[in-house]
Amino acid sequence: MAAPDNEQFIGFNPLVDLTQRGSKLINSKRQTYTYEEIMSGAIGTTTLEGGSQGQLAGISKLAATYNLGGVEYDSYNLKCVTSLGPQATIHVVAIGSIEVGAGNIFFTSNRSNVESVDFNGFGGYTNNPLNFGAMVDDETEIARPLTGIFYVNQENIPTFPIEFNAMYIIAADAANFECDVYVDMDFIVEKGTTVEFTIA
Amino acid sequence: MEETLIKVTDVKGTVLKPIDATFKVEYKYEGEAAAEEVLVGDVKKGEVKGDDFPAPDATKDLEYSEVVIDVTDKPKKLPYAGKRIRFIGKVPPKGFPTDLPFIGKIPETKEEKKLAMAEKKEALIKELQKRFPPKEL
Repeated sequence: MAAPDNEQFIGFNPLVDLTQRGSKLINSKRQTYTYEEIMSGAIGTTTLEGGSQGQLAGISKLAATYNLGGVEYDSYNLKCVTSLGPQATIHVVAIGSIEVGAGNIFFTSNRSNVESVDFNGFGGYTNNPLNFGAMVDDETEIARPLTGIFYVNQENIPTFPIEFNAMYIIAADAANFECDVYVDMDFIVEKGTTVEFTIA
Repeated sequence: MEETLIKVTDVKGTVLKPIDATFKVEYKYEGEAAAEEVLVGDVKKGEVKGDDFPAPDATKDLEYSEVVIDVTDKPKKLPYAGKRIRFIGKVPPKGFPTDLPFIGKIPETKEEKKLAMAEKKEALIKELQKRFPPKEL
């Protein structure tokens, strides 16, 4: 079945409040989503802006909300696309900052991917979850597992309020390496609080 | 079962998880010259956990209880000041937020934020180089 576009999904005059069978709610009291939002989880387009290290990064609000023990949370997604190179033993990329109006942020999901080349090994590209053990490559163009550290760091700045969360990609190994990284992580914040992203 | 006795937060209610701080709880009884220390320790991950605050001496009248948060590592990790919080005639309520005052600087411009992130990045690289020294290409 072909995916309907957003217009097809709405299907009624948005200026008129309609009542649903068996419900006294009118549309202005409901949260409505487009087809795209339901399928992807994201509200609106995720725009990744360019940063000072050549990284592309941004956040978007997700449709899901959570009630954890009586406390309500909104959910957001952080994305970053970058290359860790040229080859070195240490790569640190400042992604950007996530500033919230109040409260802690909690990362609930991490789907980040590492891509490397293996042209002179088994061939093609390798794709692994971002973690130690992920395949990385070097000038030999043979992929090998990274045995050092590889993670996304959420850090506070010593002079800034705790609501300022600086995000970094940190990767290090005993031998030189390089790879491409696709960060894709969901986080939750107190419902209704402001969330602002500043690219590094 | 252990519960959160003290939640070390800023005034917005955000838990100050990385903070290096100690705490003490004192009870002052009517007619006594000085308060008595009943609980002391380190704040761990922004919280003080325990079964409950100690029960006050039933043979005396509790004038007040006081919780003292002493931030030991400011501003290396987080820019918040310590605080004394007094509860008249009762023991502290379990899980109360401390609302520590902010003593740092709120960044106003994007450039300020970018500069701070870049400085932190350089500090991270310096630390990593101790364990993962650069290799000749």
